[in-house]
Amino acid sequence: MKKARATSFPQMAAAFWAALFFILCSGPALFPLVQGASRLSSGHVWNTSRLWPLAQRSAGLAAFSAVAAMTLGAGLALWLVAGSGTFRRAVRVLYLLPLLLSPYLTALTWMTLLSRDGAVAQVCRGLFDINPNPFGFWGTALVLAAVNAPVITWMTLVSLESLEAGPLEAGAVMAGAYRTWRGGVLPRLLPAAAAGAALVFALCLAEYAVPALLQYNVFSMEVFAEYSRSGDPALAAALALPVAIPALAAAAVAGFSGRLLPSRGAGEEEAADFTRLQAPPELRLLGFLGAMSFLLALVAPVAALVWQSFMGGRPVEAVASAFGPIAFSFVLAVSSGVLAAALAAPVAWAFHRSESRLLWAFCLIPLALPAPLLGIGLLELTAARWLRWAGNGPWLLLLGHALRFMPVAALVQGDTWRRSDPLLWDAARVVPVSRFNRFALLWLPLALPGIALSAGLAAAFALGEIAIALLLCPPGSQTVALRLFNLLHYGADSSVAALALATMTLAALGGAIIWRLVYRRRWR
Amino acid sequence: MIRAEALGKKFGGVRVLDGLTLEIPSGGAFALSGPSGSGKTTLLRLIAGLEVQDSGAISLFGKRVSGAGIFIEPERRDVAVSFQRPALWPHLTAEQNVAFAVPRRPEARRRANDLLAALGLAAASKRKPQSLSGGEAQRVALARALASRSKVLLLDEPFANLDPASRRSAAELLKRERAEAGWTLLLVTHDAGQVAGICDEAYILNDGRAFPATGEAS
Repeated sequence: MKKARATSFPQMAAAFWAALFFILCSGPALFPLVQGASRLSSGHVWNTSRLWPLAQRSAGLAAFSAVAAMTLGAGLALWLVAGSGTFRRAVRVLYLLPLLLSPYLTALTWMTLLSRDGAVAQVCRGLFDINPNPFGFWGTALVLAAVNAPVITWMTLVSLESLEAGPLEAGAVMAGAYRTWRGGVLPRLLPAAAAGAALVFALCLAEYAVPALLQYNVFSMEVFAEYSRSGDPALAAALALPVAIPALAAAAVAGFSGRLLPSRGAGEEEAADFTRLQAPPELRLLGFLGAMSFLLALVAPVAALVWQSFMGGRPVEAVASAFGPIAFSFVLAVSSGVLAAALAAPVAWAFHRSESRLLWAFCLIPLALPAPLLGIGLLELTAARWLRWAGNGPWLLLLGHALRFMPVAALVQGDTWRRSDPLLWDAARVVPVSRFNRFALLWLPLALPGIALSAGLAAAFALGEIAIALLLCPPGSQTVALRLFNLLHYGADSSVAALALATMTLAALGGAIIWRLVYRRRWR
Repeated sequence: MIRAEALGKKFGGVRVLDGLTLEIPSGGAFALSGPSGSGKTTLLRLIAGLEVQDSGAISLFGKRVSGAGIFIEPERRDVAVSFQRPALWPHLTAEQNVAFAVPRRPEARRRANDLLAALGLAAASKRKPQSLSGGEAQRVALARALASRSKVLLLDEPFANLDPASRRSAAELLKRERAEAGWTLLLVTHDAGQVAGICDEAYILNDGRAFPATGEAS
């Protein structure tokens, strides 16, 4: 018989995968960042009074967006669990959809709706005699909040679903619904929502496209601008340090809080049924606000794009003229999604088996690094003679997108594993079959729904990615996101709307196919 | 022979097993009962290799499988387990679940169907676990544990969800299989009466230790 040390194998495997994951996802971005850190001591980078206010603006924008997203996202989660019915079930399926609509598309639609001739602007002028402005702090913050609120809804729902029915029913009988909500549900909900807010704060600090479109100058734009101006990656990375460090800390806190780790797996205690526990009025109001904001964030942009596409011009011609970028983007996004999901699969499995909260924090850290840094880092790495071959063609862009969204894929797969019954794998471990059979006939079918879902999500994110594409898109090619981004500099006309609608439809269609596959294959 | 020596195991500061020592001779069948939380399932999981003990050692047929720098993976211990919950693989039919545990592929389907028929599940062999009742799923899980012909059989409350008729047929099958295969059995139960004809001896687990269930204690 083969002998092994009695140390826990899952911990060692998880530590190995964590190191590899961190090197892969963060290594290229940290490479210029480490170079840039040494420049700080020279004082060269900071010799300007412009940067401190910029840091304050970035932090203020991220903090406001995170708090707003927390209020709306947790509200939607409360509304979802507090009732039943077809409409709620539909929203429960669709609530992650705003994540699939690229942030810049949401920004674009609100620019249209709130522009001088926009529908919302006209209503505001007619009813309240005010001229809403989509640009600047408020517009940027609200778009970021609307786009990121589903992250908080997801984390809050995972936490609420981990509550067991027994204690809540006992609480409702003995102490009443109000006290049960206050003492039993809110203590579980608030840390999850706060962890989600920390993650959103980190994501907003690293966001590039929305502030750029809505003309609110932030640090992540400065990173790209500095690199474009000087071509010096170290200098650009040094500029990212002030936002990268708090973003990394926020992401680590979000992950380490462990709110991504529900305690209840499938097949254990029955989940709590909140429909039997009437919520206090203030929570019902919060739920109503969350539901309304979700509808506004989903319906308004889609309606605006449809209206502008079909009323203002020739949508079919506009889309046909961009067939090349659309096809290129689609192939690139699908390839990136599949690569991200495949790379994330062993990571998610190892992290899940280790049950370590620290390792899940690892997953979030790369997301907090400004996206342009990853692009700059990859460019710098492939500048080395022995890696120059990788810099030609779309491979670098594919790799950039895969690495950028690999943490998302790992989180989604981890969530799928946590929702599965842990005994299924215990049962597999005692069966005397080969490792290959166990992998191919048990592990893979059980993992496939999570892998497919994570690939779909990563592909949807890659479809709308701009910051990395700006740096890594090969000459002669253009992604549809880049084309839209460039067209937007000349104004949001009907052809832009048609192209945005086509992108959105493509993402939604892909999402629906994946969802259908996952729904049919979810072994529960 | 299953031999557990001075096993200790804590979960989050709570000591579940405290110097537990137990020896089951080859071919023996022991029942284990005790109050909830006394560590019955934990002992089974330690023997199967699904958990690692904090102290002590476990040997199977004279070979140390865990303890003092040794840990043999569960799949190399030649043990079969039926868990408290059925834990059937949801993408496989009842027949495939059972056949998967048969080491020799050519006879896998026949063996699976024989076991399912003996448990009154011939008609359910092509059904997925989602469409089985709790009792049916529990019997499929028992068939899966028996299918592997492992030297050690660990059963955690195998009759818990079964009606009296199903329980009788399951008990009959266990006896018959034991006579044929001669495995060593450790069976956890809350009701010693259910396993009277199957097990040779009974132990009670309390305060982290095992005591023979004789006379007053039983």
